[in-house]
Amino acid sequence: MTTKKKLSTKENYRAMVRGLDWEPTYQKHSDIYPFHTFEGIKIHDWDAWEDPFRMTIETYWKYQAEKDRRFYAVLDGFTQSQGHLNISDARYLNALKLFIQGVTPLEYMAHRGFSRLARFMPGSAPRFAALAQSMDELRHAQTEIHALSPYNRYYEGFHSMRLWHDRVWYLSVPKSFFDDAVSSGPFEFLTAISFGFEYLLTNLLFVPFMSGASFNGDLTTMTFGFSAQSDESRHMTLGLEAVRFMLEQDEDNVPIVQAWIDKWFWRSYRVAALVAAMMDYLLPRKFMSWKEAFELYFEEQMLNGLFPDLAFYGIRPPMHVEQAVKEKEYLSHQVYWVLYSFSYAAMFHTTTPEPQELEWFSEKYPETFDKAFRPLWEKASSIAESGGRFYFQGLPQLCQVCQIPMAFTEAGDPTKHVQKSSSYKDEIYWTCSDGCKWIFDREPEKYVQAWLPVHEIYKGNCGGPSVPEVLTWYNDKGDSGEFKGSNDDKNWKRWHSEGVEL
Amino acid sequence: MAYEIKQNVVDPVRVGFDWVERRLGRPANRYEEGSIEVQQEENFHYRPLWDPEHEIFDRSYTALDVGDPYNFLDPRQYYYYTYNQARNKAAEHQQSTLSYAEEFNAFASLPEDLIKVFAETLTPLRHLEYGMQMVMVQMSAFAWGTTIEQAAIYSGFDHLGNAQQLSKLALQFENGVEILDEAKTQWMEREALQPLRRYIEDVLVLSDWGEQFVAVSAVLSPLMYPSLYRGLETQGVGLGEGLSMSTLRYFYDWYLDDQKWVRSFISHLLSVENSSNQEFLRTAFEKWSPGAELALRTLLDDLPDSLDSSEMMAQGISELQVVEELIGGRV
Repeated sequence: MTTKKKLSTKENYRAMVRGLDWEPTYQKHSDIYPFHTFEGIKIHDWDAWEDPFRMTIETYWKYQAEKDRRFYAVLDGFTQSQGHLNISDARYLNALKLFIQGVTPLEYMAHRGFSRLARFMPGSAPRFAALAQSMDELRHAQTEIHALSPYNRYYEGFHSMRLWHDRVWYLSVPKSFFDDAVSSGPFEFLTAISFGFEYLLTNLLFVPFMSGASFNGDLTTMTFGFSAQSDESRHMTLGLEAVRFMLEQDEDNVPIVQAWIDKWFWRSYRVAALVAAMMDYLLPRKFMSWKEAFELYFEEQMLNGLFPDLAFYGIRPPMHVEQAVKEKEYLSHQVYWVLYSFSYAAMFHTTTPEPQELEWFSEKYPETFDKAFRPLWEKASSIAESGGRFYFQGLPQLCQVCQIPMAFTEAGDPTKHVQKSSSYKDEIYWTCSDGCKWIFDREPEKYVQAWLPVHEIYKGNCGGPSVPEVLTWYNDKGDSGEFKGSNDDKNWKRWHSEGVEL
Repeated sequence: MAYEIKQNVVDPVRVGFDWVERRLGRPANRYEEGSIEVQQEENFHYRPLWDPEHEIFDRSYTALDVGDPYNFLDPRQYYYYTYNQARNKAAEHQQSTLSYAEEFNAFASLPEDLIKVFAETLTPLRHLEYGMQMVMVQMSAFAWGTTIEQAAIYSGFDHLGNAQQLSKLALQFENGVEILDEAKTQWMEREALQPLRRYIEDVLVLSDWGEQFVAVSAVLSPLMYPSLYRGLETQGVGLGEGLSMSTLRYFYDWYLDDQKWVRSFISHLLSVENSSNQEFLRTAFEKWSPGAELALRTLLDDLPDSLDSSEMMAQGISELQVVEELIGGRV
């Protein structure tokens, strides 16, 4: 005979998790939860937030320990077998460098941001979802560091990733993006990260690195990617649930959420510009072009799939989306050209595309590549063939919002740069697009605070006024510049010529 | 004789990440790699809209001076994997203890007064654990340095785990779901629990995570887990109810594990030169310990007569004194 009443999974979960919080009486509710009201979101019934996962802490420990056991077993095998020698080519490492410098610190920042939500969101179901996500994000930061640590022992561009993330110019693009999200209120953070980053654009921001790993023989990053998949599907569900919940709670929330979707679409999309360049130019073996990825993962799945559903709540597709659609023809080329031109101060190596890559670009970008970009690469290649290297002299002007150098052109006219400006308290601020200008004009008091790397270099805040001084401050130990002839290039060739080929 | 595989060995170019060379000069282990100098430190772009006085990460979220936070390393070396592994093991162990007790019908055959202890004393504490969780999660959000906040979030996650393990104990009884509902009312209304609820609500409104850490991890925990959980287990065994009461071991074992980082972190704080950390710790200790002692005494006084509550209280007080000595006494 058993004394225990058998509960269904759902009943058991409810009994274990729900009802743990209480309405305080010794202190005011608003003193325990002080941060969620200023955004204007109205919530009437927190209990309407259903956690679809029904995971107890005990189950969480069990699943996660098991997933990590498998992950670290693969990692140990990789390290023991010198798995780094099995990637497609040493040029591939530059995609990984961008990942550990640009993305891994964001995982960590997400962990801290979700800790804040896990503490301060009123409503115990979203607090628990945020707590589990905070733990997951810490997992991702650590497993990524561990997955890429074996590469760091052999290659440039990994050793100071956190310092670079804090200091180096192109990394202020992802850093300012996430700083923007965590410095927002909790509901905006959820919309920005859980919805915008994890749901709307995850297949353009995060997943391309994993697909790139798979196509280029990078076992550890690929294993991480698959291992994180079930976490990510939880995070995506949270993102969609969060937005639906806000929209269902009060009609007054609709315009607020719409403005956040507008803002965070454009903000995330601009970060994805770096991913676009990575996909088209840093992967020796490519899995799809940026344009194809944008069409599949954004136009087809989001614009034609998600947004018709959201129309029910009065939500329309994000503002400026038509600009992003036009840009798919040239985004990756313009951004990689910037990275190539300023490579002397970037903590990964760039080089000119191989002839077969130029053919691939012509095929994938028939409208623009031969006309606007092939001539640039042919010129850069001919400079390289005569023993030189094209670098842009001087520092670029950065967009006040996305912090990408102002290199984007008017749609349909690849020779005309976009330069938008706004005036705030008698100062002029420059932005790269209508999207970024709209974001600036909405919250100028926020964006004037931006730590713009180029401005800071000119102010002398980055080790000194000259490029060598800045590079010392960046802790550049041969991490920057041209790939051909770099330590990575030389070591790779040496390690692959050792041993006897039969 | 051992067999010998010829291995393709390529000599590494560097021993590890930049800080590994600076700080260790030897290869780092995975705890160190995943914890040291991970948190962003400078050039934050925007002030938080919800707290424009501070940077996104800011040392001044506490009056403590954490010094070089990476001089503090969790002695348990918990990073995400090892943490989950350790907790999974503990939970499996607890599950087998529970199954064993269930096999012998140990919960159903408990005397009335001990059933009351589970229903009215222990089950309401799931809410306290929930509150302690929120406090540690706040520390994880605001503390400076990955090693520090990482230990805090695991501790927070553990407290929520404890809340659920307490729920699980309640569900050992036939009327488990009603016990859980009733325990909420007890938590809100019963006299014996009110000082404890007041205590945790008072801690939740603090904005200095250092003070919160002292109030929860250095004062309330050392008082509560040894006296209540260890005390009830010991006395329950004495009463011949070892099968059911040994399920409380889980919480005491957890406490012993948690205190490893707590005490090591206190030692780190005391080692920060030219800081007023000792004064801070002593002041906070003195501020919070009377309330914690009152809360615990009130709860223990309400236990059935078959239990020696003064003996239990003494156990908590002596544990609290260990912490008091560690910080160099009261002010």
